[in-house]
Amino acid sequence: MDDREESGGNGLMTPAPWTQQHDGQLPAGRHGLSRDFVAQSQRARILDALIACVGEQGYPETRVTDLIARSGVSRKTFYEHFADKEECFLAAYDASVSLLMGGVTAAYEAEDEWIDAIRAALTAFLGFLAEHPDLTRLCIVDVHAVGTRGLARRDAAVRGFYYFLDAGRADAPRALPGLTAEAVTGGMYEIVYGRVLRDAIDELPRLLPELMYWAMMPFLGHDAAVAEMERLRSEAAPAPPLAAPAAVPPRRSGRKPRAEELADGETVAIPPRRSGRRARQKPDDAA
Amino acid sequence: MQMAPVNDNVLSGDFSPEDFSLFAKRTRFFTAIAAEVGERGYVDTSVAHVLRRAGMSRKTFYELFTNKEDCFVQAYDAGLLRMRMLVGAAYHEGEWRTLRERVESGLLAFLDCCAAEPAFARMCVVEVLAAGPLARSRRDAAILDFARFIEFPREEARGAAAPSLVSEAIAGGIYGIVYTRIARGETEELPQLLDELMDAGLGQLVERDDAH
Repeated sequence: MDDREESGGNGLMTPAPWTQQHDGQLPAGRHGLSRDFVAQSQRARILDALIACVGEQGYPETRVTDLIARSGVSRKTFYEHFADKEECFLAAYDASVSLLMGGVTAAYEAEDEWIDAIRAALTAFLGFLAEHPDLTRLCIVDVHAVGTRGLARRDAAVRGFYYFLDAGRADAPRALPGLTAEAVTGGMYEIVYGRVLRDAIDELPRLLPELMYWAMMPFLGHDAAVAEMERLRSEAAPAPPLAAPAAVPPRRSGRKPRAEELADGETVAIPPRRSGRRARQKPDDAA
Repeated sequence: MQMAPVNDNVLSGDFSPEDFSLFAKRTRFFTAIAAEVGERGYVDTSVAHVLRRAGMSRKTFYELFTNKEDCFVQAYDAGLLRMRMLVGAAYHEGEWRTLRERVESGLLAFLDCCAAEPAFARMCVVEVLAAGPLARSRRDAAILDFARFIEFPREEARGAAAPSLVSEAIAGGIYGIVYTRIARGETEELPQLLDELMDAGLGQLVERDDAH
């Protein structure tokens, strides 16, 4: 077992976002820091330790003793913050999910059109997961080993995603059953879960076009979903060396260009597709 | 870690009465572990529970399995194999039917299997996630297996236009819905969800109506 305690280099253990402002243990002895700050820092260290231990050895094998050793707090301090290992896990889970949902919700609400909002939310979702593989593993896989309270938390978190998708039922060209959003979310979950198990979390953002096809297909039908997927695929393709335009071309929906499209120079010229169906059966890499 | 599998191919030349006996015993253990795990959950089920339910000796258990996990995984594999055969048969039966009708039959066969054996369904769908890394990877493989199964109608209906990732997503979407219904104790009502499940993605994928 290699020692991953120093989280800098290998990318497997990116520090959780709630600890990025400070690094590690406070100076021993009198330091004049307020009790609240000390408590916060201890709590964050314990949560970090939990994420690291669970990521390395799984939830069932992780003991409170490991968390104490790793975080450098005393046993007494641990139990001041958490009743037991399970409560500690659930605190880390809740913190991770609220960070994730915060980003996804903000992305969703920044767009007016439903399809644009879903695209933005999904982009934020996949980006967060790829950026925090340790949190992803904790939230997607390990939570299943934590018993009924863990499963209840997981169900509540997953239900949070229904709200975004369910808004699409109102505009769908055909009447859709109430569980459509649940099915789409479950499919997303499975794709993520499978990638976590296969150690391929980093490939998730590249799946955006195909996942948008999946999200749109039940609501808008196959053709509209293909149009969205093909557009995203051509956007993801590297820019042609010379023909890079100065500005992002307008789209059929007239939506605002997203921030990252303006930020980097890699934007591809995509002619707005106003009419005409793409030739179907276009050979691609889906095999 | 696993033991040599019991020879359960009755058509093979070396299938002996002893094999038959082991095969029958193994099946009793599978039924017992499914019932125990379905009732009290994997974590709280012990080998002793399984022995009592099966009415078999500890010695026989360890002739067949290395431990509880091994027994669980073998039971899972055997159950899933039967389910896959039923789903496949339902899908292929009557080749004159439309693609949607065939897909619907396959899905119904899956839901019927769950409803007919609630303890087994709970074991395969819910408890498998709590039964350790080996069981978890078996479940992952099973989802991919069902995804591969959805690949046939996807290919037939859409060719390369629909990404094959969608088959994995549909398998996962159905799994997720079935999971929550079983966890809520609504296993026997699962077949009633057929139409809704078809209209939540699978139907749109395999039906060409919306293309015109």
